[in-house]
Amino acid sequence: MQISLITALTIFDCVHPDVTIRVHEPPGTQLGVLCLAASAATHGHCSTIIDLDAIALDVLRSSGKQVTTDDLFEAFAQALAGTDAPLLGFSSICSSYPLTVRLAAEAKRLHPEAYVVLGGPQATVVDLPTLEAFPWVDAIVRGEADWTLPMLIDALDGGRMPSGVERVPGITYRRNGRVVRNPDAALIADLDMLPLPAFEMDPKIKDRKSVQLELGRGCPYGCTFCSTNDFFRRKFRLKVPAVVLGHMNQLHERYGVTDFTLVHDMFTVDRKRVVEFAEALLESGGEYRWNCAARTDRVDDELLALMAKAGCVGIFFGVETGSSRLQRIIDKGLDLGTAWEAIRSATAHGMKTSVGLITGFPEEERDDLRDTIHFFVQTTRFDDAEPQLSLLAPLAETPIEKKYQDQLVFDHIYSDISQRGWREDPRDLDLIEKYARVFSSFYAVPTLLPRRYIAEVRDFVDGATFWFRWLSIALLDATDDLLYVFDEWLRWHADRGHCESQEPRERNSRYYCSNVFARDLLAFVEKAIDSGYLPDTKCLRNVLEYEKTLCDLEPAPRVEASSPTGIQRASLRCRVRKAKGVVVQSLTFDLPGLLDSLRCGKKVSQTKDRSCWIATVARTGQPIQVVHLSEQTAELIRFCSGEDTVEQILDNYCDASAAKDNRQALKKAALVGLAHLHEQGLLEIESSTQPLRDDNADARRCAA
Amino acid sequence: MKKESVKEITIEVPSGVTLSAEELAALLERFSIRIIDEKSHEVVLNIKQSIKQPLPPPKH
Repeated sequence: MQISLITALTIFDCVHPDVTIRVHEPPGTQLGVLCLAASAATHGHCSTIIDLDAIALDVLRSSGKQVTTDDLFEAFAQALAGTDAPLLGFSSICSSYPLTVRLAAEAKRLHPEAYVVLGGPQATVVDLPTLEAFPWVDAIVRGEADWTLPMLIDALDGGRMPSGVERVPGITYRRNGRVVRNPDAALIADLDMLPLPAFEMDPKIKDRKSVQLELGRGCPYGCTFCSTNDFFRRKFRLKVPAVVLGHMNQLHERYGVTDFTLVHDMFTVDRKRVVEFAEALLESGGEYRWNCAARTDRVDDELLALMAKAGCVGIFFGVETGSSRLQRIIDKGLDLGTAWEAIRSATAHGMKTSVGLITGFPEEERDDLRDTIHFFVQTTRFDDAEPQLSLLAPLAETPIEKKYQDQLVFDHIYSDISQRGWREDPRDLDLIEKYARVFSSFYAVPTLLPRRYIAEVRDFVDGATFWFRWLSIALLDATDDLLYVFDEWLRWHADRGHCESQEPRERNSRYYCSNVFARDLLAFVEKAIDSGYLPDTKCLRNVLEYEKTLCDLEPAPRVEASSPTGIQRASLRCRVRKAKGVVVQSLTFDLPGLLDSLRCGKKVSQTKDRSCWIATVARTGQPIQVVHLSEQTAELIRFCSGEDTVEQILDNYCDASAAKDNRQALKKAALVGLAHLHEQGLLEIESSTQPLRDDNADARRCAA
Repeated sequence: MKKESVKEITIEVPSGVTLSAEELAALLERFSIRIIDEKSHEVVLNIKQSIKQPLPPPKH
């Protein structure tokens, strides 16, 4: 039997279409539908996949402008119209569930005889209310569908609703106008029996930077906000290393894949198995890069070192809250000191470390919120750590959602877990408002602190650390109370709006993402220091000066390697100048020492008070680089105005140097210095300069 | 940064000027440059979500 599998929309909107495209390219077909397509194939059923993420990116590429879910809907509907499969299976996640439900309706309108099935994490936990609310949905496959879906297809093979469906475990369906929930299907005890996901159905497989593979399923913990433990029923299972490694090797041999996202909610629960996997990877000699997720109390330095050695380059730690009190309340139970040490260790072993935090818990008090945002900012001390702070989304059937089910409020303040940046379609909003049970993740649980305050603290801290990592850390060190800083910020913002005789600028999420916020924050900190609301410390002043320096930079066009300015050889007759986008300046303080102090969390006053030279390199499409220069390097660059040849620069430099007693050695040194600066992109050779062919003449001239 | 590398020097040291390894090391030290910070720029990404993609992607 032919089936059509439709993915859930997962990509998020970055406001600018080109950014959205770049962030998500190349799209990859989701692992879940690839697993189901492979399982269906082993039972003799052919699948086609409608990849909503890929379609959405095509729409963005062709429109070149901001699109809404309504624009996307039309494109998705066109794809649905093109299928003639008698079974349409929709995958689901909470953030795009309203769209999924509307697409299911469209599918039924287009193909009235088709059997419309939903599955995946969201549909599983809201099976009854979904079927009761939306008559166009015929059935929902609950939980792991690897076996359930083929059984359902087999049961349907002889007709639209044969009696065999009644005996398929793990589905909820309609019978004689009533919604019937069959008993749960048995969990798949031996995941090694599952086939390799159908990666051959991913048209972009050869372009993908990284491919997802399943390590296992099931988290034994019972955190009150989490839904995945319910989906996999808390039964921890892990594939044997040989199977996972075999799949990695197959993907490498077939498609050249070397990077893997290894999916498991809690891979490191069984330390012995992790060691076995890492050792198997090392013994295989395959040089794969991979990332995974773990609990901070289920790793240690030795294990992380072994994982890094075996190719682990990224790790996700769900810390959830920086409050020890809340750690207990939400049943996460992490020791925050251990969590900090795990993050430190992972980054020390070269892993990119993501740290997930949540705010907006019902019991969260001001001190808890402060602890969480402090943990967030503290994490930015590590160069390779990236904290993420989300508003709590009451996911359906989690303990928190069940406890507050009758008190959920729809305040249009969305968690980024459920709202992925797309402008909400009015029809989606209608569905959300009408069916709270189905779309609870768009709602809020009651909180002790005002929700709008919590949401804005989140936006403020997120925006501040994005724009000004060092200033955020310095503000924390100077005040030890970032909520106090935030409250002062609110007051300053309100006062300024009043002074300017205009409505205060709307402080929404987009404002906090913008460079308007960045400039406002710098102005606020300067004013607050001058007014005595923030401590007037040397550290804070110096960091502010440094951040302002970076904020004021105008990026130069990016220099492509093939452009004329990328001449690779030059001679003494070439004219050399400072490269475009490079600014050299002197600072009145020791910037390297200051940054090291902020990284380590040690008192800045311990650093030596001395000036330094830096060069900033700002080019479009690239991060700003800050380069510490020796005094001699800075002086040498000063002579590179573009007017003089290399030879003249060397002469000028030697003339100005105090060390006149060894001119020839100084000239050699300066020449090597120029070469080095050019190599690092700080100097460029004038494009009109023609390299000399007579190097010997140069040599003679230099030697003379 | 490849500050220790002399193989990729793109302004050629003219022939006739020779440097010992010790001499070269001292010169490189004198003209040291070191990247001490990197920062995303607003022109690159004007919205922070674009570089804050969760790792691994959300499953809920």
